Amino acid sequence: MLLSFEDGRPFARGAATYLDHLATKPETTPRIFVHVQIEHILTETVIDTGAPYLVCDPEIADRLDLDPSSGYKVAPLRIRGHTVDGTLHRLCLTLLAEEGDSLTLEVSAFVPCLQPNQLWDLPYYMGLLGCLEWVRFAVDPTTNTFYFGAIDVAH
Amino acid sequence: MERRLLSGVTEVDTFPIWQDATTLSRPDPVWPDFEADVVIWILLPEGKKQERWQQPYAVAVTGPSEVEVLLTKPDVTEDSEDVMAALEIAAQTGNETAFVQTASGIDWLQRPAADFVRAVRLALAAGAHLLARKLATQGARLHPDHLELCKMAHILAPPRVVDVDVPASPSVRANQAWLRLHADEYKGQWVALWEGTLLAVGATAREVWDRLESTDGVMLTKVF
Repeated sequence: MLLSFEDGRPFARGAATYLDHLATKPETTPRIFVHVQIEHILTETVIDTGAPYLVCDPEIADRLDLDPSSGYKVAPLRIRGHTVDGTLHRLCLTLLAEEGDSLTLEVSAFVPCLQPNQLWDLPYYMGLLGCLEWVRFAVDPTTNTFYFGAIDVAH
Repeated sequence: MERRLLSGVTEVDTFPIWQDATTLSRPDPVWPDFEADVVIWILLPEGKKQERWQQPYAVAVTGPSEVEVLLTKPDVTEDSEDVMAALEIAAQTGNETAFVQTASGIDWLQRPAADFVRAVRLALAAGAHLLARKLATQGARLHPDHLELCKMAHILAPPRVVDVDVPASPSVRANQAWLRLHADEYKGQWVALWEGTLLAVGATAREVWDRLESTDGVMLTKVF
């Protein structure tokens, strides 16, 4: 069942179940993994409202065949304790629904550029600024359900 | 709190600029490189400053004692290089708050496109991501023919809703069920799933992707 305001307006037009487990070895707190589509590739991401942008896994970004000229190279960012160089892009991200409607957004995405001997063992992260900031979302931990919907600008 | 930055532009703030909590590139607030009671002075050339902040501005209150940065407040009449140098120093300290404070003392309406480009890059380096967006947006408005600024503004713009009526994806539940059951067996490896069925497994995404006959509807993920 999707979520609505008292006046009947939808709060969330889509919902999907999520998995919660550890994202990396040193972490001790489970993360919320939701299924998404980045451009044409289906994958899963971690919700991280403390971070900006959609942070891409470099290997999947490689599969996207991004045009280097469309990106903007930025100074190193610190991501979960790692300092990485990278490029900002504008990508299409679809939050996949099991119930209701999926939602497609154009978001700011950071694609790390790894050194030859550098490994990336982190998942994708969906941050708030530049990614989820115009999305209503809610989590029901009793059913592991992630609700989402676009903000109605008129309201 | 006083808001001087981008004062010539009317727009709705998604987040308060003075409380930009985006922290990707913000270092440990303990500032391990500084000893207790260190005071850092950032000074601009004499004779050009018209005013200073009255009180020292504390930028870190954690650790054994306060570390203070006494920032001069650049005036709009100062040379471009002076105020941009102050921004550069603020960015180099890695202190997002100090950077935003410094940027707020600049009359951006008087700045050339090159200063906007430099400021956006510095803001990103300082972890001031919201400020970077605002500077890029205003810079592109003031200098609409500057390609780099327009590109920055486009990339850093708020998310845009493209489609709200995309049909639900029935494969989500099936793929999650597979991951729930088999994650321990394939931890650290890349897998390709289709409707809850494992199609390929490998050490890299490229290796897995290259094994697929078709990628339509296939989920590609590393197993965590």
